[in-house]
Amino acid sequence: MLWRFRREVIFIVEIFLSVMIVRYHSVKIVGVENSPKEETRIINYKELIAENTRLKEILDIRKDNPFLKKTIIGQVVSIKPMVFPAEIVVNKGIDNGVKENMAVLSKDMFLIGRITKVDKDSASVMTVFNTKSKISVIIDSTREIGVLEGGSIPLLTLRYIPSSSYVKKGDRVLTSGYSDFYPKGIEVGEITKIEKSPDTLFLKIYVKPFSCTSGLEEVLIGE
Amino acid sequence: MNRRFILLGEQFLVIMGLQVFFLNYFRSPVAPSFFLIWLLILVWEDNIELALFMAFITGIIYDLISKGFYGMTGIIFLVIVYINCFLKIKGMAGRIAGIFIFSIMYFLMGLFKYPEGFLWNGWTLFKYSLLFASYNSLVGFFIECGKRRLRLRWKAKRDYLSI
Repeated sequence: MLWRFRREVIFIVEIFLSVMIVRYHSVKIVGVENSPKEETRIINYKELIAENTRLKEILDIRKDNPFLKKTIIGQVVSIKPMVFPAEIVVNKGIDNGVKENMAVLSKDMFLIGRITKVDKDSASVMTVFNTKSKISVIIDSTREIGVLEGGSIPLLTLRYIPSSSYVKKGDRVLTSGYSDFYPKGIEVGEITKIEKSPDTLFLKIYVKPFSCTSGLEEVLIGE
Repeated sequence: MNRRFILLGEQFLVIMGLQVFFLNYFRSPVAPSFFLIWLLILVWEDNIELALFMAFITGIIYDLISKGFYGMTGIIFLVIVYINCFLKIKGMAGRIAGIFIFSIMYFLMGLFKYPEGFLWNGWTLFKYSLLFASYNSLVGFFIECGKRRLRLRWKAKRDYLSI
């Protein structure tokens, strides 16, 4: 009887195991990495030195960062999808003072996204590439305010900039400070393409984000 | 038994090497999923239980090498392999079409998050899922061609030995 349904049995058992792994991983991300019991780990010294250098750079940036009152350094533990990530998980959570809607910045102080879900020792970040991401931004040169929408890759869409605007390619886009989530003045990206249509009141502008394209290892979380 | 498992082990190592190489060095927003293609071919060749088992293993390995959410790819692979248990796809055209369709399914499932929906918007999803499926179909085509050539060579060798 059981032999007849062997495929179903294998399928159900493995699905159960996979779900357990997903749950364990989402809850215990830090526990696995920082477990004090784990004494016999192989240490990759080169990687440790590189990490140390990166963290030092972040600490230097943190000292004189003009945007955030409080900052927490987090490490990226998961990225989904692998390129142009829409969601990342960092190894800092409630225990480290992370709260929902805190801004997340790269080590070069470019905007990555904001915290959407916090667990005890991990947090999910919705990046600028996420289809749900809508950021109030200001164009540095013209001081016009628009909404930067995610969901399209590799460029983001900037909406509600009037057709009469003098915006040009290469202009920088910063957070406007009018939303509850992001402090004013964080660099988000630069304008790479402007489309003008006679039928609409607004321009269609494409923005290339400065962060999130590659090399996401450490991030700054703050408010 | 041993020879078959050694062959499968060799295949697995080659596939894993290719997957790691393409994930790291392929200059495109999406890289072909060699694991998915291999699992589909395994299940279509009637190695169903093995394909189900390997779906779990390859899923974990894929998440490890792509820094993904551990276990998620395994679930997607398992669902796709299980669906294919009931499909006996033979012939090159059918298999390439199968790889194309299930690649799109895999891509869409990978970018879906309950209850929020898809992580990318419609047009982007469509564009990149097509690109991903095309890459996979191309790889599938080369594998099928290679298999045919190998089979012909083996047949010629057997015929020669039986003279």
